[in-house]
Amino acid sequence: IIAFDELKTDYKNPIDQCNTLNPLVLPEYLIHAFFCVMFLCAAEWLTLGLNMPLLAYHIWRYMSRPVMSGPGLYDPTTIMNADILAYCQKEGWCKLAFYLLSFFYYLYGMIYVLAGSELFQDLAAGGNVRSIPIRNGVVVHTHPMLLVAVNQ
Amino acid sequence: MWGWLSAKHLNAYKVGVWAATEENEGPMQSQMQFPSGYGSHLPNYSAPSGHYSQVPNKAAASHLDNQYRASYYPGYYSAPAQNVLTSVGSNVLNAQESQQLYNSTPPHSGGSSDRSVQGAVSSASYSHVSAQQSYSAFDNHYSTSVSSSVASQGFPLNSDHYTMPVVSGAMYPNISYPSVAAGGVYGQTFTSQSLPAVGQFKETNAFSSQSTSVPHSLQQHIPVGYNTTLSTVSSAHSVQDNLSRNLTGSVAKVNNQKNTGGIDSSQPVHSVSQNVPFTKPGVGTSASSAVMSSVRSPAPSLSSKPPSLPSVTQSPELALQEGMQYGGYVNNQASSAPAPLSSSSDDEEEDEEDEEAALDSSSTTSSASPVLNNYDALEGGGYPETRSVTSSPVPSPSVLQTSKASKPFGYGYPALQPGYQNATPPTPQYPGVNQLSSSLGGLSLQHSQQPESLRPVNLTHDRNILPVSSVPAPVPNLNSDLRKLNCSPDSFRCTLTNIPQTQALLNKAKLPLGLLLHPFRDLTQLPVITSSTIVRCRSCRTYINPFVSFIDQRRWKCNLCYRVNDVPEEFMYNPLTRSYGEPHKRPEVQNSTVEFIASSDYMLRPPQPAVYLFVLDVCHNAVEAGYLTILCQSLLENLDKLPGDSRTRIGFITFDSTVQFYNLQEGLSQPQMLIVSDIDDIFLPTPDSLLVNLHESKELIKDLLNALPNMFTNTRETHSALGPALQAAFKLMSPTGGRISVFQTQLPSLGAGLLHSREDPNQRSSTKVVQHLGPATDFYKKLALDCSGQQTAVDLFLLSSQYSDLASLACMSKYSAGCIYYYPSFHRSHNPAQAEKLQKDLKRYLTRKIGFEAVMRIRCTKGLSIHTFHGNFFVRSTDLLSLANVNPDAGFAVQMSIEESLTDTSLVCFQTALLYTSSKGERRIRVHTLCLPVVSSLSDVYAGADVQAIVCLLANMAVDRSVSSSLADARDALVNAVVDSLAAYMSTASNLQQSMLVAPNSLKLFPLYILALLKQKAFRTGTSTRLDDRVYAMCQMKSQPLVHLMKMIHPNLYRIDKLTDESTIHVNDRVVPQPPLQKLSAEKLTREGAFLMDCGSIFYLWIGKNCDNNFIKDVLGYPNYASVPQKMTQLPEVDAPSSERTRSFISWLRDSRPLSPVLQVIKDENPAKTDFFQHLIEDRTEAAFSYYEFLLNIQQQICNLLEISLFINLGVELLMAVKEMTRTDTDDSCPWKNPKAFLHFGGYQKNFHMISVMRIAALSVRGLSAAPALSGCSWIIKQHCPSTCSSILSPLRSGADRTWSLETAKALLCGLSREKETAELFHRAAALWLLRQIRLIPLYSGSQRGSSALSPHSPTSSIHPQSCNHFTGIFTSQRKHGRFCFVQHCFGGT
Repeated sequence: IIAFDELKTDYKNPIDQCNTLNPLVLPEYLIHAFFCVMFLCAAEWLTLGLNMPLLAYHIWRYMSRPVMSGPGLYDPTTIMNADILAYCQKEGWCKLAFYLLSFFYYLYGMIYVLAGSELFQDLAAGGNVRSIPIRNGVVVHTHPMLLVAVNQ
Repeated sequence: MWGWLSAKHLNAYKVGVWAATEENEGPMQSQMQFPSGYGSHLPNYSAPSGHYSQVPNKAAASHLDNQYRASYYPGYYSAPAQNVLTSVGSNVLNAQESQQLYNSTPPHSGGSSDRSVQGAVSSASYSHVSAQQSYSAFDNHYSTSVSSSVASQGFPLNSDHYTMPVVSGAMYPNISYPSVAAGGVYGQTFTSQSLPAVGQFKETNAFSSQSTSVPHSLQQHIPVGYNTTLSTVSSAHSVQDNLSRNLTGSVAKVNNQKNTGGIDSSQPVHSVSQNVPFTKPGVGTSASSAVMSSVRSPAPSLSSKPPSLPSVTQSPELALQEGMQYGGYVNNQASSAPAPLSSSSDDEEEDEEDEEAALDSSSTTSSASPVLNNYDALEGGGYPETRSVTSSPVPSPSVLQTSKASKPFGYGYPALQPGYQNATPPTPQYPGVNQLSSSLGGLSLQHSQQPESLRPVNLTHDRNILPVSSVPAPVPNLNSDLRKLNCSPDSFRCTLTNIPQTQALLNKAKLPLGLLLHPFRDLTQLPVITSSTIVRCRSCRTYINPFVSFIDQRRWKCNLCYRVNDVPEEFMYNPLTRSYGEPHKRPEVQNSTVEFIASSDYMLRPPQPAVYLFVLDVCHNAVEAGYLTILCQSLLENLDKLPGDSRTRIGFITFDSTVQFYNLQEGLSQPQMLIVSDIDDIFLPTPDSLLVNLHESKELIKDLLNALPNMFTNTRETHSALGPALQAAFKLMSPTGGRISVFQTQLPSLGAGLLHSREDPNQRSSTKVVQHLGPATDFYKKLALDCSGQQTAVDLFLLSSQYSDLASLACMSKYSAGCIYYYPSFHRSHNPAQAEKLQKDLKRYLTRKIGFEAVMRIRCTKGLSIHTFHGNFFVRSTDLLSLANVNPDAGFAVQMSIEESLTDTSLVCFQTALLYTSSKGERRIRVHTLCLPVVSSLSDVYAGADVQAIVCLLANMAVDRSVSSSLADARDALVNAVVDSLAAYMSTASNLQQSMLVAPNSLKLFPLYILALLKQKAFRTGTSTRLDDRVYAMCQMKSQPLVHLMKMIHPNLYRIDKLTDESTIHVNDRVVPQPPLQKLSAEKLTREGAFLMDCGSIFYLWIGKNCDNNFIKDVLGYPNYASVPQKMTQLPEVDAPSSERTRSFISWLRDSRPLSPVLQVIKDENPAKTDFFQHLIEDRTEAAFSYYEFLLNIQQQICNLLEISLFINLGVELLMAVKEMTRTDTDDSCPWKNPKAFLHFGGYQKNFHMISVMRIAALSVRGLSAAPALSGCSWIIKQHCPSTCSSILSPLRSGADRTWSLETAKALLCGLSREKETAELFHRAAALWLLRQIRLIPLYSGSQRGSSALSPHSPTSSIHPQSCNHFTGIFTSQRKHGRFCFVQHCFGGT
């Protein structure tokens, strides 16, 4: 999102932008898919249900990507189209919101489970784990994975 | 009263200008002293009075503007005025010298100057006529200096046909004679200083032969007679009508704010008050008669030229345009008035002035070859000024209509041309309002003539909608001098010449908003400015342009972001006049198209040399086709003409399955060929010596070019390694950048970027999905982006006989800003037409101008934003296009959107700045600025629609759509574009017969063009179209400039076997016949005739079987039809008049475009005749509609659409009305209490018909509740219309509860029709409810049925079919925001 904003306001070259963004797309999708698999394994049906639409969207998005030889979604030649730029930006915001919400949901789930399993003292450690990814600014949902791992 | 006062001020103001000029002081200072200055400026600007009274915060802005204008124009014009008036040597010299100085700056100053000067002088020496001449010269001069790129065009006329001004003169009277009257009146009140004005006025009467003086005299008087604003309206067709109405002192319903380029249409009161005092019938008529006489006289004196057809179409345009200028813009005249006044003194002085003026203008035009421009102008879409050039003194249709005094020459055309539609001031048309105002009389509502561009055209009935000559670009409804300053429509065009105020309005109009650019067009004259500081806005970096406003001497306000900037010290000095302190006279501020020579700030690196690399396919296929011979020959011929300087470099690469390089290093005895067969990892064998200096190694290059065609004659290699060759080329070019020209003849089959055949020939004619319009691989795109990054453009010449996947290959040019040429089934000997085309294209390609390492930025006024770009380039930022190369044949399109409402501004501007390195290694910036008015009403938007631009933009959008979605989608979108816009128009213009398909005059060609688009190779289905052809057509649409694209979409068809000397024009001593345009339909073809079809890149000459043998003998050079060969591409030079005429016509057409088209003679049995017949787009084909069927189809769709929207809109209206009715205000100011205020309140919201009707209904119900019927009625309303709307909406939805509505209607009708004032309204109201009741069905299945369905229910006989039609208009769309959503909700999402 920040990147798209930059693209819109600043004079950053779309080629560079796409080059930086494109490699990130596939990992993001894979991580998300991995999550879904994990939820599936843990039989977390509600969580899985929440994530399935996004998974489906990701698959659709990747299927209908422009003709490209490398991985990624964004085509520097069309990214500057106002429609596509706006779309990408909107998509970014929606996803951010979704990941944030699901993050808190996972957190809640974790605390709930932790409280139940008398591992209260681990909470501090969990908190640390949580904060690291945020500070790094990496894709937000990397840490729910950790949490889920704790969960299990 | 107020208006009179302001006129007085104007006089004072004018005197002030005079004083200023005579004292030879800066006009600025003297200006500022006038206390009345402020008031006097009022009329200048678009929104008179309104600004001050109503919108206080706007007043400041307009004040500034006015001030600026006041100070600016008088200053500008004062120089000529000095010339004229005093004839003081020094002044004259000074001015003249400065002119010449100025004009010597353009780079192209050629030898034509002599000629034009002479012409000017000689023309000036017509002793008697010279008076006119002076004006024409002057006029031209002033137009030239304003838009100098055009300049040369105006002038040659001047020398050759000085008729131009006369034509305009003929036009003026119609438009502006009331102003003369006013001028006369006020002329008496002048002080001694203003005497010249009076003199001038007299002169108009005295020298009736000098008709040209008329326009100028009018011009002068306009500022005085303030009511000229009245006449602006009259530039619409029935002027006289209008005037007579005004003159008779009836309530002046003229809405002139519209016309003054203005914004505020909601202030009719002011306009009325201004107008009334001036309309003195007696004076007006006498003046008009005087003018009339002068109109008539010029014709004979001019008639050395026979009336020409194009002139018919062109002159009205001019006329209207001029009319607009005079009417719409007062300030200019005010300030320019002094100049022509001189003529009121004695003849000698006049003659002197003539010569001077002529000299001036000749000097301004000296550097251009006038002929070329003339062609341009004739070509259509020329400059307004130019148009007058070619026009002979034929009174226009508008003249015919309006003033019977002027005599028609030539043909009277029943239908007016679409071009000048837009010149007319759009005046909103609210039939409902008119009736209300007439019935309620005394309310001053807007009421005016329907402008020409909005004149409804019934498409299904009017068959001859095509103009006789080419369709000219509409002229924005601007003030005259802004218009003169404005950018030429050839380089810069907007789809809507009236910009809607809000996005909502734009959405309502259903027309696309966008720009069509041709920024690097070959211009014959272009002011080039060398300056160390280029003045730009500090925040948005806009270049200073003619539309900025100078706040005072030291500051200017940016017209795009409204920031106030300082004028740098250097800018104060004007190199043109060698004067100091006149920043507003600098050429930057006088021309909307200028070129700056940029300083080193604009360079990232030293300017690159011109570098050309040719990448040639030499596989078996290519050798077989034999293109190498043609290429090498053209190259040899044009080697010296390649644009460039001493650093120019050139190189060659050939490829088949290997890549061959050529070492041409100086010193070698012969070219060395270096073969690289490792195509997987390509490398450059000798990086230094492959690109060599053209001049140093010229001999080697020539050797190579001579040898190249024969080097590969025996090759058996069938593979083509295009990808590796391109990679090598990229490596070679990346240090410098430049141009790569790729010649490819087959599908690349080796190495990176290899492609597979994707086309299934059996699917070519399928009506279903067309696949593979997008690229198969992104190799070429990536390569193009890399190239673009290294400032290298790739131009593709595809000469293939088989499928070669142009969709993929084209990417290399698309994104690197190159160009694409495609020659299907090219063969040197088998297909001579293509071979000739290649030859001609190459000649143009090699010699045309080229700009390297270019970027183009498009800026627009705050509130507008750029949505999407179309063309060949890479978008680097939201408004920045990166163009590795820019060529003069590249066109661009831009879609715009309105992000913020433009209510605070009356003008919007667009600026394109193209920064490039010329082939001489100079960094230059070419700046175009376009200024357009903002309008607030829908009908104005329609009036300003530029149908050609719209169609071109839609074509671009459709190409995108068909690639990203599907072809069927794109086709649907095109049809929907017509349906939506016409439906929107039909619901606006409410008095129309809904059963007919009606379009505003400005859009009458819209369906035709869209049909033509649908039948284009790019979008057609059902006809066998090769994929490559289709893709190529799409590429063309994206990259061609408008003029060429229009020819491609809708070719021009002429009948040429009977060319006569009538209606000819003279270009460069040649007589060029002007046959009328024919419809593109087989019905126009006759076996006895010969027809020429101009498709832009190719001419088809179709010869009928029974064509006159004389024609065949004279023109084609063969004894009879049978002996004409199948493949004929040239017309022999036979010494016969018909041959001469034909050839001069064809060469005239050819000269009008850069790419010289090939002529192809087609006989009836020729297989190529399908090529010809496929362009006859009005005819039915197996797979596509004929034009008439298409119209019917559209009509059907519109009906469906309207019915739906009607339903929704009606719901909205009812909802509003119900809300009003159920309101229980006790406040005194409540509109219930005061019907007139109430109506006013309703009128405040523009679509007030329905609401007002319902409100009054409610009002009267309450007011006359004594009547038992009405009390029942009111009870019913109260009962059934509670504030919760569901109860009224549910019966509506179900269609049940019939009795209730009938009862209501009856009660309303009976009770309320007693009141005379509102009787009509209530008839309507009743009918409305009835209509609602019978669910609108009959309404659209024809008015007949509608009325019959109505009649059984109608309570009185007073509802006749006419009222039905009113109602359809009543339901004007009110889909605004929440209301719409709410209703949708209520209707359950209908």
